Amino acid sequence: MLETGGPLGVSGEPGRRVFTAAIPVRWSDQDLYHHVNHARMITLIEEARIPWLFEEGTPTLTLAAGAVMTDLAVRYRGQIKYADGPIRIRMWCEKVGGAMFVARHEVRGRTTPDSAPPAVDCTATIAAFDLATQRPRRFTRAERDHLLGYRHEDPT
Amino acid sequence: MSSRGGAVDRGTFRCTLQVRWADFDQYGHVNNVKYIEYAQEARILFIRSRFGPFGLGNLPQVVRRVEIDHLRPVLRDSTSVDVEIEVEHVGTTSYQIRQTIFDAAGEVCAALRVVMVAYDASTSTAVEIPLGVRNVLDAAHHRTAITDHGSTG
Repeated sequence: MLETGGPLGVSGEPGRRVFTAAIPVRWSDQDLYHHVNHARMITLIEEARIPWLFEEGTPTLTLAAGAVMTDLAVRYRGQIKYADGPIRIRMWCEKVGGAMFVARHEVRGRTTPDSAPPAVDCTATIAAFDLATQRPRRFTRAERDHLLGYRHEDPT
Repeated sequence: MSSRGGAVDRGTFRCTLQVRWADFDQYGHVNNVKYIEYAQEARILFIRSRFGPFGLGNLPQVVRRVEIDHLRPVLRDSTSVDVEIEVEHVGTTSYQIRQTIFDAAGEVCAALRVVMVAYDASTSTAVEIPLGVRNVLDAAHHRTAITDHGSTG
């Protein structure tokens, strides 16, 4: 069995609920410095949101038809190596508006415990978007409720 | 790691790789360039699994030739692909493998023929394949040859 530093999937009580995804690292994610390249890290973080928000049966699956990133802040505090994969990415919401939400992400190596600082933390603002009209749109009630389930009252 | 590095004896190597959101292009299928990446990732797992026990899991080697047939698309309903590797030929400094990429339904989507060369990065030249690696490749090759003979005869 895979040794992991913490729970996967949904964990934590209401008000502190977190979704944790395990994402395999590819050889090609590495750069000349033998660690995961910073730009590839953003792709890995993007991938982590798929099981969180776009899994079959998830109310936010409708966002897969159109959602755009409007702001992205990434802090690289440590390195991630190929051998650290599958990496664990913990995610929750800092803010949920009518048409956008702010997602928080913490990236750790497979066996790094949640009590240790993350190698990367990332804050992303994502807006619902109608591809047909090329305009932002408002969340449906179901989408917003699902996101609110992951909103932290103290989003630190 | 059981789902990623599944090895069956010394015969055909098979592993499962995650398909990423970013692998899809605007046609809703995996972009052709990504098959090369899947093939590379599978080779890394193959090399680690087969050569690793001999302390040669990090054997420096480079790609000399890639030939790829795209047979059917990998679509959005596949969240993973399987890759099989068979050894076709073992030379002095190089070896040739056949890689087959399957979608989640088990359909063959791409077939590759790849020539790899043992490599010395300090001189940028080909070197002889170390004996331990040659033995592993030969064993896999013979198994493939026997299987092929059995299926045609």
